[in-house]
Amino acid sequence: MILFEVLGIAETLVKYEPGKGYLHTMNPLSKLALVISVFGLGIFAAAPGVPWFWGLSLFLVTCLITSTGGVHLYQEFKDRKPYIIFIVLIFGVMNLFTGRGYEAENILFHIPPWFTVTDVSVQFAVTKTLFLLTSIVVFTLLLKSTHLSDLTYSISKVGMPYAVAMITATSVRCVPMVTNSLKVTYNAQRARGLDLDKGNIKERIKHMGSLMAPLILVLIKTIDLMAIVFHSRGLDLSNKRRTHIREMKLSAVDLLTIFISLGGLITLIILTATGIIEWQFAG
Amino acid sequence: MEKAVISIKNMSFTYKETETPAVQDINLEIYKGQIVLLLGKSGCGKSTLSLAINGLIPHLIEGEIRGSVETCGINISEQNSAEMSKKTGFVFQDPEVQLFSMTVEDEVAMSLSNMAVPLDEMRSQVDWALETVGMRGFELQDPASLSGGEKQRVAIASVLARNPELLIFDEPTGNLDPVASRKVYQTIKDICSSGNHTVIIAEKDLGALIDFVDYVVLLDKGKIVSTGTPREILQQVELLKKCGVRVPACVQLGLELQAKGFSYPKLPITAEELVKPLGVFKTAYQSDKPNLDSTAQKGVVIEFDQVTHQFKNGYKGLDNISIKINKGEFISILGMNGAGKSTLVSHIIGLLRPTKGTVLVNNEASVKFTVAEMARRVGFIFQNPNHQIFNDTVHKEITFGPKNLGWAEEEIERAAIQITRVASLEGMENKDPEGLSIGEKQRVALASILVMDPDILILDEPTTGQDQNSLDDMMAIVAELHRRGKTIIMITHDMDVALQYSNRVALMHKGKILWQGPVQEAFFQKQVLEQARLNQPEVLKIANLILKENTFIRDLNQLRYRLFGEEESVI
Repeated sequence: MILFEVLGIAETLVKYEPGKGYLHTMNPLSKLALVISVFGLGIFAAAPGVPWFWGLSLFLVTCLITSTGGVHLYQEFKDRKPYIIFIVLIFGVMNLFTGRGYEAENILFHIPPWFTVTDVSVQFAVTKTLFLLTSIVVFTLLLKSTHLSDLTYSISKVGMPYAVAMITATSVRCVPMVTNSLKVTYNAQRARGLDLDKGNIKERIKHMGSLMAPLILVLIKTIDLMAIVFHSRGLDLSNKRRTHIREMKLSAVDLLTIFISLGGLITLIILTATGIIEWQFAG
Repeated sequence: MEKAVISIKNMSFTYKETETPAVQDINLEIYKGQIVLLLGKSGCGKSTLSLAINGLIPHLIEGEIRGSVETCGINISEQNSAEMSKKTGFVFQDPEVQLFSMTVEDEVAMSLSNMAVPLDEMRSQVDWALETVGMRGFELQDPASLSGGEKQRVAIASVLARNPELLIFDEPTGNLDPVASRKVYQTIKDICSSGNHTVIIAEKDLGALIDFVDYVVLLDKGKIVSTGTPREILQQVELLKKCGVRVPACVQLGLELQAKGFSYPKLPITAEELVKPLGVFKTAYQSDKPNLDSTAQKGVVIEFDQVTHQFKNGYKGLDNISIKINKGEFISILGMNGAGKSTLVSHIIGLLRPTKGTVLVNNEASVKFTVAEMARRVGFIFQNPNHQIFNDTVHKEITFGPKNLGWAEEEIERAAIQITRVASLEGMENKDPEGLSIGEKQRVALASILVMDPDILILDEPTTGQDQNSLDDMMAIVAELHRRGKTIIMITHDMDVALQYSNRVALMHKGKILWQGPVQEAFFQKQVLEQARLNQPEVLKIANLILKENTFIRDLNQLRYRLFGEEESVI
């Protein structure tokens, strides 16, 4: 079932992997600055009119940082390569058709009445897909090299409300929980003769109700219990004083990373907003 | 006079949206250093009482509370749960839902972090808590990668780290095998040995806790029906049975021997205590009452031929397994958590496919069929009925499977009526399964599988979460199906249930079958049992101490017959 593969990929993306690379030794805040910067630059690179090689360059640089920093993406995903290629292709093809509305000089492919592929839509699909891949890699870089509790603590220290930081971290932790509950429910229903492996799309969608209803019930109960456990461990979201088991100091490398990442992004925003840089379609 | 750590006066609590109080008229005092057991079947009110003592009721769980609860000198109505958590720690049954962090040390440090404990102090408290529960060296491991017993010990460490005066455990060993359970209880006892902690444990069963607790509070239908030391409580056999609590075989037999004139200085609670005054027991009833009620017929229905299953992470769930199961057999698959029991049975219905080797069901490879197709031949009852049940009435739940298989409406109704009767669910057809007790839900799950009339029935841990009465009801149904010729495959941690019902046993450890054979021989394989970390059933242990070695009996009735020539209890 492709849903399991998607959840499996999500689980692999968010799971911390111990390591000794430079990314593991960096402060979560500097890595977060890097993520924000790459994400921001990715938005620029995926904007209409920006040549696709900017997006590709950003993607390659992000991959380079990730692999030299001790996060080995290829190892993690080699078993799931076909699913990743499938997801990327689906995303790319979707964008190929949604991009047809822009002004275009060359129609490359047309099936009346709806399907039109132009040079602009190809550009759109390539840049959006590169943006998706870059975003996945940069978030993976952060989550696979950072303890979630370090991240939660760090971002709450720079002003993000602890409730938001906590909910974000807990949501990430919930991915494996949802996957496990879904697997058990899926198996339990198949064992009662519900054929989720066969049938047309309509039948499969109809069967999803039998899968989702017990899953949602189990998840609601689990989340209720999690809330009780949190409170029994003394969680008080209004409490501003909180300590952490690991020291979270900012080294010179961290400060430099934050300065370059956020500085670069802010500069780009200012230059664009003031019209000093103008993005042109290179088509 | 010593001041009570917990003082409860005339307390009642009714959950929001219900009319009947979950607990009522509770009056209780617990003193420092005591280990107290709240004992009773599912729904008796022990968890509600635990949550009220901890202050989670009424602050987090809504409802109407009456009377007063004072815990560690604090009136629970006047302090919020965060404040209460400084004095008390609560460990829940399911370790999965109480471990949130990506590393063990983060998990243990969470409550200290919430209390803003300085870094140095936090580090030493975390180290001490992990040391106490025997989990030093696991600091940087992902809790999700630990075994069930290890997870529960991390959960204990995470409440122990802030050194609360009061520790509350709600069925802490519900999902664990007997050896892991004993380790958890030993950990609790070690924590208490300093005398600085008071411990409350809520459990359905007293058997495993006799040696560990000082005081027992027996609950039934939300009320305290008896209190006393474990020995005092165990004297009240009829009351325990009425409350759905299993009475250990040696206690039952000890009381019967006392009634027959044998003298014990105190109620025997272990097999050794029971047999001590008996010496060499002279009995006129040495001849075997027939107990080899084998219903196994000719013909193999399931065959594993050199099956290996390797998970994606490289771990071998099954390692070159070969086993044949005959038609009409009742086979129990025994082993500790993680031994490979569930992995083994998952191959029969096709939930897992072998990495190597073949699995044949009725002489056909299971890989040729989808799970739904296999469901016509093999019924699989999952451990947690909540994962199977989703319809809004019991009747719809029962008819769901046959509808999937495309049965005619008349045939479905006829089968549903019959199965409703077999599973003792008459009168509940239009009830919402969500409102049923765990035992009733388990019977609904069983009925929803039985209605498809599979020839083979797989039960995955049917004893988990069940009190004695629910378990007896469920196993009576299963035994009847077996008598009618169904092949039964049961995974269980409960050695007494395996002994009582099965005619063959497979002992598993680390993905291998260490031993397989008739139940009459299984529990005398001392070395294998030790290797598989399993215990001999209590009743068999007694029989072998009282009577000659390697005497096989299935249950207390058979032992009683061998001793006195009668099956019925004299008390």
